Amino acid sequence: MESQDVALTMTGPAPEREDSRPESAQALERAIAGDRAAFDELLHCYERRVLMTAWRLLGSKEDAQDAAQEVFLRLYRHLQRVDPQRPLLPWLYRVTVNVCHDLHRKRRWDTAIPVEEVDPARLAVDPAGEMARADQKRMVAAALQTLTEKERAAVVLRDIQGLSTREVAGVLGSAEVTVRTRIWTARVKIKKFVERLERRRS
Amino acid sequence: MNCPDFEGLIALDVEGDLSDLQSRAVSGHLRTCHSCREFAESLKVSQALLKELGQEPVDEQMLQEVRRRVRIGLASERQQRGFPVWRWALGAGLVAALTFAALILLHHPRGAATPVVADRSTPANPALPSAARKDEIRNPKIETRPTKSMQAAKEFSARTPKGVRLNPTLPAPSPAQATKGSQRMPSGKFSSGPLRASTDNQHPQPLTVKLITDNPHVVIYWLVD
Repeated sequence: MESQDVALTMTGPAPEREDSRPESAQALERAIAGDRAAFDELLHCYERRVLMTAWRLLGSKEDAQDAAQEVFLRLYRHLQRVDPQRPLLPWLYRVTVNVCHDLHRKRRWDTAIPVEEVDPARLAVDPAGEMARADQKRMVAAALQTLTEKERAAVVLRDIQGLSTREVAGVLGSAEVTVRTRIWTARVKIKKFVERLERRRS
Repeated sequence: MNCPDFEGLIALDVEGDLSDLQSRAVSGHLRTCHSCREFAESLKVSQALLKELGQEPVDEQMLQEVRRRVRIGLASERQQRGFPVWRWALGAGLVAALTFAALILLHHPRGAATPVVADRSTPANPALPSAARKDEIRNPKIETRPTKSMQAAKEFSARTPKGVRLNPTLPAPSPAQATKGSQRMPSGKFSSGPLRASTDNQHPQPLTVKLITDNPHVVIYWLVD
């Protein structure tokens, strides 16, 4: 990641997303004022996005749960420093990316799994030859883990979470050009990975 | 531009990440290049799969587990906020200080030595080598300085013949006893004076113990009865 420090005030563009809804902004203000029910509202509002992002960044549901827990605890700890006038979601994405990076470091995972080490047989390929859609998705999910951490973060936020390139750059604290390069590199790598697996399978 | 140069542009174009100008350039190349067209089609398939990953439903049990963990974590955080760690540390420090003070008071004998700390302006041994200074710290030099009354008693005893009792409360020695000494002295001279110095142990003189510390400005005196 460009910057692993938790930035409490987003400097990127203000995304027009679901957290721009007035009710989530109000819940944030109430949570900052110490309303515990409002914090629960925030948890319910953002838990899916945080969990999904962490799952795709880490490749494991159990680790994603750990990461999501830590993200919301950090939100609670830093509530007083969060700007209620700005959307919370970019802040949560940034913290999620940072928490996942910390988990990677703690567990000493390598940045990327080499393509050669991925066994297509483990991806439960359809024996009839025609891969089911679910198996193809598993293949793409495995391809994500072959990317570097930076590439994975960029492509997960852009293509899975649907942020714009500018928003991704804001979340990651990187230049837009850099993020664009990471995104196209990741897309090409994923495509090539899937092709190689199909070739090996056949 | 050749085909490898278009690879990145095609990867961005499939998701509409290029400007109109760049996108038109890519479209023009794809119309003429069969391999790049295949590349683009293949990319679209993998991109569709990638996007579907984001639409997969998240297991409700996973979410519940996250909520449960967050609530446990929050309860712990609130508990810590209510009584933070520094308060525990402060309390423990106070208890330790009070215990230490109580131990000192218990082990300090009443009426024994009265330490007097004197400030000395001139350093004791400025040229003392460090090893010697260390030794001085380990084994502090204790000097006994006679008080005025002790000095007076000393001078007086030097002038007093042996065997003469200086305590006025005792009976004056007989002339026969007095002649046993080297010099005869009139007994009334000693018995009626205000002198309180005595050579016996009934009224011991105070003893001053001087302790030189490592700090040249600090000298400790004990006045022992």
